[in-house]
Amino acid sequence: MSVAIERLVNLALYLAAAAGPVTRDRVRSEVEGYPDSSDQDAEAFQRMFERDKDALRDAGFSINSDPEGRYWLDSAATFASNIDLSAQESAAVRAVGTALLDDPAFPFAEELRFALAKIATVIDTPDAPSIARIADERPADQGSAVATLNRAASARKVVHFDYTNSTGQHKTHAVEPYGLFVRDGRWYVVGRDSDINEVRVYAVSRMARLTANVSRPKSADFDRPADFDVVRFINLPFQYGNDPFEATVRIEPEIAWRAPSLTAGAGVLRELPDGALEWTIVARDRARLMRWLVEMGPGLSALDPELSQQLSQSLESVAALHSSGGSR
Amino acid sequence: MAGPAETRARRLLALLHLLKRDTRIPLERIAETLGASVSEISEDLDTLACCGVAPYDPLAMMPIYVEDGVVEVFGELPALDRSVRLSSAEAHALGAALQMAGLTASDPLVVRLMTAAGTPEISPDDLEKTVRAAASPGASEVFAPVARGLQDHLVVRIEYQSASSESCTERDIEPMQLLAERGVWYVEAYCRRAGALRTFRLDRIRTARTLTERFDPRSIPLAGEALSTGQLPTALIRFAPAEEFAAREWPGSQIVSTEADGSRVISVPFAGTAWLARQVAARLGAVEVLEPAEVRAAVADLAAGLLS
Repeated sequence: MSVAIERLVNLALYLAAAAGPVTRDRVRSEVEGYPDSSDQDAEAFQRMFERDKDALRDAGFSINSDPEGRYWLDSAATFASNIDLSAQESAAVRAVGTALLDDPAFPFAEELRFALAKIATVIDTPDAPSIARIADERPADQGSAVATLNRAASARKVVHFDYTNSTGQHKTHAVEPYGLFVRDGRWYVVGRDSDINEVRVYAVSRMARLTANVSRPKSADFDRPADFDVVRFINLPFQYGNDPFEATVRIEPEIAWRAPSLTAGAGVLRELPDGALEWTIVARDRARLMRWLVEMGPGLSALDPELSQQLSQSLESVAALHSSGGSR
Repeated sequence: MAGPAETRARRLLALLHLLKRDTRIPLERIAETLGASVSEISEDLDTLACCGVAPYDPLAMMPIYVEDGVVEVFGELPALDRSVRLSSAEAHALGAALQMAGLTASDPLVVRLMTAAGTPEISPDDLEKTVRAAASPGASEVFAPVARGLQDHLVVRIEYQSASSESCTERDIEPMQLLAERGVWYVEAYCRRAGALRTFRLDRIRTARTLTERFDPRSIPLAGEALSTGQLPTALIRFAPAEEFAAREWPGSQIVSTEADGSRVISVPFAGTAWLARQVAARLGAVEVLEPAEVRAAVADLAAGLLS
């Protein structure tokens, strides 16, 4: 194996040191590690060289070629410029890196490690104690499945998996994965289900026997819609259901600063004269919306008269239940 | 997927730019940076010492040797001493990681990092359209000073809004550990106002800034989890028959009994009454606290407060 490793490093060094474009034949004769023509035919050499270029591209090298079969390294696209980070910024990158590298539910740990190594000189600060547990349900399984899904999404390859939905029904799905998101400890994939020809969201923790199409690895199975944005599929807890309605919520001035985090960018915010915010949002589950308003408070209330009255009645029952005697 | 040779070659190329002329770096430090063992790094450096450019004479080979667990660079390195840009997959990984701390595509730090080191083919905006992690935009304004305080043992002044009050309190904290659980970041810190260890949700911190004052880290055992329930008192709560109970929403909870009508009695550890009262009130009458009385009273007070 070390011969292959040395050859790859030598090729990288050679291309970086070359004064101009080089031909394949020069690479073969000048880079230590490539067998000469008496030991390897031209076709086998070509395959080896192609694999090596792909490996270097995966490592961040930008290798260009022209129709005459000459190759060169695009220095501007290959080498990073100076990065200037403040002490706080370095600390932030270091802390989040430290936490996620050890989280089995973070599916990009290996690539993150290479990324952090490449910027190591600008985040050369002491380790900050930090721990991440993105997922609380089978984190390693979710991490591994998301890595597969992400590779498939990047290469535009169809995936197949068995899925158990929330009512316990099992079905095998063929999906074109467009994007991924994580929310509240669970990873989800968004993609077009080819059986029903609809874009759907699937919880990764409910998948089994996940495989990606491995045939013709360099050719895409599908095109992702140009306007796809995974954020459109990330719902708040009260946005699941079949009965959409528009809700308006008041966010008191004292907690208006929390609006970006509370609303997650969904809906429309309007500032009221007293400094409070009016948030208009499409909801689909009245009970979950009321629950959310209480959970995420203080400082949140319903502005719709009907919803506000329903919430008041519910809270009266809470108060009555917890008065001295209660239901006991 | 990359094979072991490709992965090792990437590691060798990644460590190249850590080496500069006349530097001495402990193998342990390189191993930590690259996530490999010391023996793997030692083997990598042996391999690297055999690499170079034509004519592969001693002057064109890697000027490195390893002695007593330290790698020493004794001459000019070949052309790859500059940092190579992130590949598309690396940019993807870093972008997703930073998102998890609230550093979104438009954050100036992300823009600078990706412009200087990212791949020109992929913009952070494009990355965000396909992979989204938790943490809200703007969270980095809190995350960064807290991380700095944690790293350099600097006191951090925060404005914090607890679950029990609309207004914020100002606190000086000594950060001891950052925790991310299910997409929510917390900092475990010694709170000088409370005179004790406290866990603060970062998305309830309105502002944070590091002070110049340094602190000596205290010898306080850390919980290591945001919702630690080990030594806490417990409350007994009853779920109505049709009310959904998910243990992950009630950390440390246990089902005590299931009644004939299908209702369940659950024991739930609690650190303070505010969080538990809010969780119970949010069930809008489908969950009742049976004991202790202080939590029952907290729920009644909360409901009355919300009604007023």
